[in-house]
Formats: sequence, C-alpha cells, structure tokens
Amino acid sequence: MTNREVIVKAENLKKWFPIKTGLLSIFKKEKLYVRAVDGISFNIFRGETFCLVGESGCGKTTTGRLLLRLLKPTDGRIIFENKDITMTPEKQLIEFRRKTSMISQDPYAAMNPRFTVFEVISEPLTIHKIGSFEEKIEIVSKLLEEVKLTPIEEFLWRFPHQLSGGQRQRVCIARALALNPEFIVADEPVSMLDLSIRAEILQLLRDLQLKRNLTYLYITHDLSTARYFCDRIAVMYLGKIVELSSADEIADNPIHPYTKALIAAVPEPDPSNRLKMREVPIKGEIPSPINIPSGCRFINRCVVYDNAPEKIKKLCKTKEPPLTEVEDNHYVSCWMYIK
Amino acid sequence: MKELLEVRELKTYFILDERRIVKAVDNVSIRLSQGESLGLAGESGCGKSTLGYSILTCIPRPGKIVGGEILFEGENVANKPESWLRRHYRWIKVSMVFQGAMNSLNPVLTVGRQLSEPLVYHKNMTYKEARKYVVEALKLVGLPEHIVDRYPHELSGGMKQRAVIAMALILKPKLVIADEPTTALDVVVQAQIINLLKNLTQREGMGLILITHDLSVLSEVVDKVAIMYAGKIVEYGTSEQIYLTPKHPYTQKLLRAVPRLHVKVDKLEFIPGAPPNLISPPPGCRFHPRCPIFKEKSNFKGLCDIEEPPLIEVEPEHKVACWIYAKR
Amino acid sequence: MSNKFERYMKLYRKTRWIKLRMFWDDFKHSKLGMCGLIMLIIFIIISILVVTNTIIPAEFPKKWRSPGEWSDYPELVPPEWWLKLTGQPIFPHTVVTKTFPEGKKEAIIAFHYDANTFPTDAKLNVEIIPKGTNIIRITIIIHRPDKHKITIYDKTESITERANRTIISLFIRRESEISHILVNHFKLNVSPDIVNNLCILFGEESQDMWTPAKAKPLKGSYVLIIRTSTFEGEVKISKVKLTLYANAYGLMGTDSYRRDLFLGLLWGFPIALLIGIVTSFLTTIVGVIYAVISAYYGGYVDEVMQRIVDIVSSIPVLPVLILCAMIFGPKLIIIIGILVALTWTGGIKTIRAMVFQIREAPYIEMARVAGASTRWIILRHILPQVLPYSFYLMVIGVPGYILTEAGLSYLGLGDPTLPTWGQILHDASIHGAALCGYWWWVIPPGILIALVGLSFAMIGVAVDKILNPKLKY
Repeated sequence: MTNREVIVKAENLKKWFPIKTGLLSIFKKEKLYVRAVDGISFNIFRGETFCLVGESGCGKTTTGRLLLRLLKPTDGRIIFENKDITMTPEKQLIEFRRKTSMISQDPYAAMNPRFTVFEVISEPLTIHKIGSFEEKIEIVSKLLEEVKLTPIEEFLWRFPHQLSGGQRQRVCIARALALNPEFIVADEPVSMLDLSIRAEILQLLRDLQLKRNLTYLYITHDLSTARYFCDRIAVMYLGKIVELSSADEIADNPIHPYTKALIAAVPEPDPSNRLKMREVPIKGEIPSPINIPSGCRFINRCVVYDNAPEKIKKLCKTKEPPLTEVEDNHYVSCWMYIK
Repeated sequence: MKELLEVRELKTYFILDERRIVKAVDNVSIRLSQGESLGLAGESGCGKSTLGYSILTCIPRPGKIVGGEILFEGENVANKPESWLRRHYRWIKVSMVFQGAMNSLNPVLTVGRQLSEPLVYHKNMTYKEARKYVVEALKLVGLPEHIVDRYPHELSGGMKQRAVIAMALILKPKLVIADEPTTALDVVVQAQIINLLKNLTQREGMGLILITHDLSVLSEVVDKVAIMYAGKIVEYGTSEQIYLTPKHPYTQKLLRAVPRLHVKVDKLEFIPGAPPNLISPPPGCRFHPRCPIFKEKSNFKGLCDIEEPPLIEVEPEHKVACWIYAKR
Repeated sequence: MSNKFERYMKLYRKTRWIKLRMFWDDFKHSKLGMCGLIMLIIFIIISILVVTNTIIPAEFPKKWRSPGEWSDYPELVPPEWWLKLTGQPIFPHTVVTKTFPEGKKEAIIAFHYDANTFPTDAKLNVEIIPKGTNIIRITIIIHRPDKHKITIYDKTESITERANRTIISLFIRRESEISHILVNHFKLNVSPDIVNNLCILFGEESQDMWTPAKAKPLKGSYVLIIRTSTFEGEVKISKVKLTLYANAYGLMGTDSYRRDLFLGLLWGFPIALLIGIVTSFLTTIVGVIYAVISAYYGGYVDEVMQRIVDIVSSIPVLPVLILCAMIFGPKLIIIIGILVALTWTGGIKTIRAMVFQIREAPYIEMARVAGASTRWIILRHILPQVLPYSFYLMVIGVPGYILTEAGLSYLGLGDPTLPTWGQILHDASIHGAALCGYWWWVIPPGILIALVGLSFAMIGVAVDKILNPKLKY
C-alpha cells in the first residue's frame, strides 16, 4: 500500500454511559457504566471505504457518532485531518461539520416530515449561511441530478411521505453531499430498502465516491454487503475491535474465533444448505456490556478456548489481548494467534 | 396423500373506499403437503404477508377475501363463520409467527402465562395444568424450563423469538406460518433460529410456510419456493429449480441482487424502478415496466403490456408466469 | 436557468401554503368546527361593531357606571318581544314635556291615556327658577277623566339654590305618602303599604283598583296641575316633564339601575373575547416556551423546571385572586396577570412529551451533523411541530378563562368598571333577580357566556381531530 493520507484517526476511544438509578444515584459510590466503546484505535485513509461490522450492542453505531463528535468520548482521542477534535467546543467545529456528514438507516425518520425535499437538502446550506435562495435552488437541483432524482421539478417540492424508500434515501444522500464533504458516515444505509434497490444505492454511493474522492465509514451488521462494498473491515465485539483487515481477507481468511463464527453463521442462497444444519462455532449469548470480565471479553463464548493449551488459557483469563498485526495488514486480538 | 393446504385462485383485497381497492393478493394458488415447507419470497408490498394472513383467515381491516378458496385438509376455510374458525381452525390447525412478534409480547405477563393462554382457552385447562405443556413447547424450541417464569424484558432478542415460536407450536398445529422470523435478529441468532425451523420441519414433520424477503435465509430452510410480485406468483418450484435454474426475469434479477459472502462478486445487479401501485397495477404482466427482456426485445411489445401471462409448467413442479415460456 | 427557475418558483408558491390548505380542507368537513367558527365570526363582527362605536356610542362603560344617566329608562322591565310573545299588553314609554320660557306660577299639562295596562312608574320633573327664596311650596293636582280630582302632592320644602335652576323629581310609585292619599281618596279597604300607586292613579274606580292584577286602566284625558308658591321672593316653573315608564323596553329589558341590558350585553362581547383570547394566548406562549426548553435540555434542567411546574400548579388560583383583589383592587390587568402567572402550567405535560419524542428523531441528529445550533433546532424543527397543538391548547383554553372571569365578577371580585357578563350576573344576584323572577337579567348573560365558550370548544374539538399529535403522518 502506498503511503496514504489518514483522514480520520481514532486513538483508544472509549465511551461509557453511566447508568442512572434515580436522582440519588449521585451519592452511590460504585457507579455502573454501559461500556459501549471500550478502547478502540484505527485509521481511515482518504478515499477508502472502511467498515465497522458487528452484532447489535457491539458499539459500532456509538463509534460512528463519536467520530462525528455527536458524543464526547469518555477517553481517547479523535483526530480529523491531523487536528485533534476530541475536546473542541461545538462553536469551533464549524469547519469540521462542513467536511463531514452522515447517512442513516431509516431515510424516512431522517427527514423532518414537514419539510419539502428542497428544505431537507438545503438545510445544511442554510445553517452554514451559504447562498441566496436562487443559489440554493441551483445547488439543490444539481445535487438532485447527481443522485438521479429527475425530473427535478417533480421532486423539489415533494414531501417525504410522497416518496418511495429508495427515493428517500437518495434525498438523504443529496443532503449529505450538500456541503461538499470529505468524510461520510453511512450507518446501515441500505438495510431498510428492498433487495432489488440496495445494489442501486450502493452503486450510486460508489460512483459518488470516485467522483468526489469521498471517504466512507460504513457501519453494518450484514457481512455480505460489507464484503461487496467495503475496502477494509473491522469486526467489533462488546466495544472493541477483534479483527481488522481487507474485506476479502476477512471473508476468505478469518482468524479471530468471533469472526469465524460470524462468517459461518451467514446464510447463502444455496438450496443444498437446507439439507444440513448450519454449524456456528460459538457458545452462549451476548453478555451485558455492564459487567465486562477482565481478560479477553470473548472468553465465555469462545470455542477455541476450550481446546487451548494451559499457558494461553491463563493469558485469556487475565489479560486483554491487544490488536496486533499477525499477517500482512491483518490485525487480530486473540492470544491464540499473537506470538 | 391428501394435501394439507391448497389455495385456489385466492383474491384478498383491501377496500379503502369505493374507488380505491388494493389488490394485495390477486389470483394466487399454492399447494402444501404434510411435512413440506414452502417459502414465500418477494419484496415489500408483493402480498406475501397478506397471503399468510389470508391462510390464517386473520386479515387486518379493511382486507377481505373476495374470491377463491383455501382448502385445509379438504375443507374450505375461506367462507367458514368466525365461531367455527375460532374453535376448530386458528392456532389448532394453523398458527402464525407474526412479523415483529418478539417485540409484541405482553410486558406485564410472564412468558409461561402468555404461552398458556391458548391452552386455557381451547382446552379448558387451568394455568397449573398448562405448565407441563408449556415446558414441553419451550424444550422444542431449545429454551430451558426456568423461562416459564421470566418476563419478556429479561430475555434476549433470540430468546424472545424462540418464545414466540413456542407460542405458535403450543397446540401442536399442522402448519405454521412464519412471517419474517429472523429480520430483526443478529446473524448468529438468525442461524440458530434457522436451525430450529429446519429441525421442526425435518424432524417433527411440521408444515411450514416461511415468508421473507431474504433469499439466503429461505434457501436454508424450505423445499419449495414461490416468488411473488405485486400480488401474484411469478415463479413457483422446488428450491433447486428456483435457485439454480430460475426462469422468470424477475427471479433471475433478484438472485443476482443478493450479496454473497463466500464468493467474491464484482457487480451486484439491481432492478431500476419501484414495485407498482397495487390500486392500479400496470396492465398485462405486472413486471413489464421493469423487465429487462421487455425493454430489449421488441417482439414482446403488445403482449406483455396487454395480456397477463398464465402460470404454466415448464418442467415437472416448476411453474412460471412469463410470456417467454407461455404460448400465445 | 431563469426559465427553469420560474417553474420552480411557481411550484414553490403552490406548496408553501399546502399545509395550511390541507388543514383548512379538513376543517371545512367538520360540521362542529364550521358551526363554531361561524358563531365565532358573528361574535367577532359584533365586537368590532361595538368597539368602533357603530352601534353603541363611545363612553359607554362610563355611562354604565353612572346610574343617573339612566333615569329616563324604566326600571326592571322585561324585553318588548317577551310581552308580545306572551300576549301581555304593552304600555308605551310616554314622555310629555312642556316648557314655559317666561315661567309660570301654575303649570298645566294634559295627556291622553290609551294603553291597556299600567306604566311601571311615573316621574314628574319640574324645573323651577327660584328667586330670592329657599322655601317653596309645590302642589300637584291630577284631574282624572272620571272627574276625580286628587291632590297627590302638597309640600313645603327648602331647596338649595343651585345656578338659578332647580329640578324637582317625583317618582310616584315609591312615594308612600301618595299611597296614603290615594287610599283615603278612594276609600279603599287595604293598607297603604301594599298598594300600587299607579294602578290607583290611572285605574277605573273599584275596590280592586289598588292591585295591578285586578285593576283596569281608565282611558281618557288626564290633566296635571302644578302650582308653586313662596313666602318671600318669587318662584316660576320653566319646564315640566312627565315620564310614564313603559312596562317593557328594548331587546333585552332593563335592570334595577334602569340600564338597557341589550347594550350592556353587547358590550360584553369584545370584553369577553379579549379577556379569553389574551389570557389564553399569553398562557399558551409561556407554557409552550417553558415546556420546549425544559424538554429539550433534559437532565437536571428538566428535573428542576418540572418541580417548579409542580409547585406553581398546586397554588390555588381562587384564594390568590381574592387576596390580590383585596390588596390591589379588582383591576382587569391584575386579574389577567395572576391568571397567566398561575395557570400557564396547563398544557406542559403533552408538549413536553412531544418534544421528547421529536428530540430523539434521526433528523434532529442529522441537523446536528450539519452543524445546527440549539436555537436552530428549536426554532426550525421543534416549534413548528409543536405549534399546531399549541394552537389547539389556546383555542380550548379560551372558554375556561371567559368562565373564570365571569365567575370572578359574579363573586364581586371582577373589575366593576367594565360591563362584563359576569358583572351583570353579579348585579343580578345582589338584587335577587333570580328569586324575583327577573329572568331577562339572569338568563341572557349566562347563555351568552355559554355560547361563546361553546363556539371555542367546538372549534377546539374540530382542530384536535385534525392536529392530534397521536395521529402520525
């Protein structure tokens, strides 16, 4: 890989949500926290599509929000274009906000139902005080063309409830592009769309990326789409990254036991699969993110642990494995594979 | 062997007002034998859920069965009175796992209490007597006995879905209709539920109709598949025939739109446009405005856009509704 | 580009008011709402006419407060249409005036009595010009058509000299001395305390002539002779006015202060609407802003603000109003001020719930990603969605405030300078109108209060059906 520019860097990010048990909880000594994100570090290179994948509750959505500074991290640093924005006050984040945007899962909920399409897309422009009314119409029209919502007159003044699911998501994409951003966080952008239009929207996102040199952070729980769309994948479990590599590597050569379980669990449209049970190498249920045991947090569900040598078992019980490069550009946090 | 379920030319319409009628299920016929599993696949608004509700005769208002028959073990349940259906059919012969049911469990009742209700109502048992059967049903879905006294909020998503499936099985029906049972679940839990459904059909001999838009999930469970589009069945056959040799353009495109994990895909295909308005669907074949064959080959113009293609058999057990295969 | 632009602008103008037009279309369909709206429009038109003095002269409230202004009106009489409806005979309001420019010592006025019933009262005004004397003797004699001649008044009084003219007023019905004179004259077998002077004065002679139930009016020509005399100096009569009061008046009758109730009731419209709408408007604004701020910030801010709401809403309104009325006097500004200060907590819970729901919506998050400030989110996203329900709260609150003001006035705490319906009811109650059967004093104000309240309530119900926050898009 050539020396590429890092556009976003997460350093040991943590986000703990305190559990309130009433007004008097401020007097409790032992405070409980939901450790949604518990120390993750990664770089996102400019122009790539970086994926955070994991099951519900693993912290991927929270990480996305942290990177957009919608939440302030409990610990760690967020660095955007070489500037540390972890603690910058909201007022000084205007440039940052212009350069970043988001596409979210439910396109209908992501729009104010009383706004017309024009108002939805031009809202970022108005917030940043860009352009007169005529100029805004010009900009919005160009954006509608770019996301292929034509004829423009038909869509400019429509309300969200008059659009189909795919059209709504295109409007949200147009809004995300309004300020010519450099970095877009896409949180499950196609999971609520019909199968036949998912590929269309993903194709659109890919075309826009090439044209505008965008960087995407793609958050999903669907590994198949992640493999198709993303360059690199980071697998998250209980607030930490357990494996990080290129998409093809993760899909064809998973190393971490959790990744292996996820890959094994994904169904495939092959009718012969129904003749056998799908074996998923994992035990138990997802534990609560409140009481996280010391040592490796995957230990209660790990099938590799049961057959591991004693020395490694001891490590698993006491020390948390760090995210280490075990193969070329392939990072894993598992004592079985770290030398 | 008598067919367990035979649906003949069923029409279920939603009558919004005098002028607006949504033809949700329009002339659909399917067949199911004892121990067989059928998958209903299609996108949102194709009518698969409505078909499921129709078979259970529990269609939400303002929907009505306006034509056709639903023959369950030879008897037409489409025109039976409500009292008969309540006493002899619903939940006893056929039950349903509704979409999003796991979030609709009563939060103030224990799981055991909720599962006991059909027993108390239909078999006149007391809650104490019902407990034995409840534990049995929970075992069938892989849940331990202590779940009987747990409240829904104490269970994880996967456990809740299993509990709902247990609720559908409690009176040991011959057919279970499952509407999107794995949509809101994580991939590991989804695999477990898929395994459970496979177990129930293959080992327990339960009839299953699985309704989902996820073609991958469908292929892992069912023997027969019906692809629905805009209220009609466009292709119908065994899993092998549908997945390996799909004939209808829609099915072909749909299968090429499924993202794959274990195979590297260069380009996922998509179908431009959107599913049609069911109040005034396009004339002729409902898929023709989006059909690539119709757009490319001119000899279909004047045919696909005027006359509806009939469902014809192209090979044993494989039926397609497309003018490519039907003769004029 | 400009051609395209024009096309866009045309569509923009169409959709700009689309929400309002959609609302109006829905509202038109509601029979209840349209009924209420039509009533309200009528009330507003009346109020405008009143306030612009088209049907009521200006300075009316002042006139309302000074009983002297109404002395030419009959006292406590029902509306004219009531007598017509119940088939009772009407006595027309009769005024006979005679002026004597040079003055006369003896004034004679004659009038013709034609009515089928008796006047409710008779008033004799004598304008005299005394010169150089304070002591005057006045004698009033009446000649009836049946040749009876009665001296109904013969007194020597001292009169304070005021600017050369003095008016002597004599209300015949109340004078007990006249009762005695009349009873003795006609040798009636009753106690003078219970007789009706007017029946005897103008009635056919009979033993029953003292009671209006049995007396029959004596039609014909009557002559009144007024004589003045003094010991020293000179006294002349310049003007004599005899007023025979009708037994009915106007559209709504009169009260015991002789005030025309119709005008008073009309005046009540703008005041009631003003009080109701202003109070409701202020209360709603305060409540909505408070609820939005409290709910948007959440956390401790919300906790503290809600506790304040709990405290304020538990303060009893009526005792505070009574207290303030006693301390500061019953002024309207004070009443409205206290009502706003104590009742703004009304719609807080619902608005707060709405804001909580909106606050979590993804599109709010999207606005923040784009860099929206708190002010932007509240003004552009939250308030517009809260406004329809606030409008409903405002509409539905108006009848409550109108009733509160009416109730306060009824209890005597209202602003006595304003002729509100509550004031009218208050006056009616202290004069025992309900007990004495003076229904035209009691029922119309009540009905009007109810009708105005009803019109707002009907509009409110129709608006609620359309704008209910539970009905999502």
